[in-house]
Amino acid sequence: MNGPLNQLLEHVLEGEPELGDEVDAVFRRAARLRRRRTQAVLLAGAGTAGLIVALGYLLTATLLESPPATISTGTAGVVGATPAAPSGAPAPAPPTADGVLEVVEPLVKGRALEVVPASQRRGDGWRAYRIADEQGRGRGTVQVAVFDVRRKWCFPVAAEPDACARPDHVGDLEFARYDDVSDADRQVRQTIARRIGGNRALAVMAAGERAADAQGGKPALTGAQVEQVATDERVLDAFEADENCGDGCPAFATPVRWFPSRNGG
Amino acid sequence: MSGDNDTSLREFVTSRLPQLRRSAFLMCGDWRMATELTRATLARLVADSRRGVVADPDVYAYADLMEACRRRNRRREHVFVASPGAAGIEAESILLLDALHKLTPRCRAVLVLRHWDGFDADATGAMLDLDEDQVVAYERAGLAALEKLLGESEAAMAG
Repeated sequence: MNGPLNQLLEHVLEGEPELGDEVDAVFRRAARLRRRRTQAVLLAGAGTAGLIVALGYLLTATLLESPPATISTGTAGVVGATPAAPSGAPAPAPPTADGVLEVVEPLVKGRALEVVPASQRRGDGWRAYRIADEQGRGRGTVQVAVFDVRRKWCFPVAAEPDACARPDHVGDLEFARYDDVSDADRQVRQTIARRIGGNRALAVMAAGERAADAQGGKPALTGAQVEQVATDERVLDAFEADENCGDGCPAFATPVRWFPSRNGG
Repeated sequence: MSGDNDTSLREFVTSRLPQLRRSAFLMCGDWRMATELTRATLARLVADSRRGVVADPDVYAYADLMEACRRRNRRREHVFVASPGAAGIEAESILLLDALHKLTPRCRAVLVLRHWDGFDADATGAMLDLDEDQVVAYERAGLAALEKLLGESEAAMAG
């Protein structure tokens, strides 16, 4: 090289264009750059805020849509959202499957009657349904209960407190009918059944509506139908193994626990 | 230089802009591109200085400019592009630019910063993210290569 590099480079720079308003152009560009950066920051902030809101919404929606925990399952299961009722206290039946109603309802409908919607009551070891005709007039109740009767229990005799009734048999079930039509204004059809040798008795009673008229006083189910319900295995199986109609249990025309000293109930 | 002091910023830009543009031209061989790159570099410097994130404006400006030139140089097609309306330059200058642009970008940047802008090896290293020994090695290799290339070019022209 002929001479220092910096001197050689000076010749290269001949023909350099004028600067003009390049300084102002620098500041104008800096202002644009600043605006773009501000917009980018705002957009990023808005995007982040939107993302947080969306995630919050999704999380909240997911949590709110979660079904409540079920406390118990089965045909007599109680949904956790329903306040717990005291043992034996009447409570509206949940919209879950009701094994007893599945047997009772077709028989009721077969007689041009219906189970009054939302009339179903239930408690520990018992179920009760109000029945009405097509015009909405009450036709009494059907109530079903299960009792822990131990081994010494025998079928009661309505007219003879110390006697034991001789039951009829169907399948592995034994049963006795207790119909009372002496009061035309409130006739009662009842059957008590149990599995042979078992320690649980099932009582089914259909009672007419009191003081209506002769038609209203008739039960919603015939005696044969009450017997059919009482001897239907599905009804006994519809109750939980630990259910027992205790305090608050609806009254039956013929009490299952007739004489505790004899029947051991 | 504080971020909110526009007067000092303007003074800095006014004083450094011509030299920065010449350095950019030596790096890219195109006055228009050099002007654009210098403007962009100084605009970033002004914006960042106002935010108070520039420690040393000279190091910031030259480091940013050299990096911009290095990226732009990949697309370069001509050794020299004259400014619009300007007369051409001498053949020797073309040869020097040609030899300069046959060097690697980092080697060329070291020669421009050390021999044109007059920075010492330490400041050059700070601008190019090199340590001092690397700067010296690049400079030595660049000068040797440049001398060889220029010698070959002169011999070819004489022949």
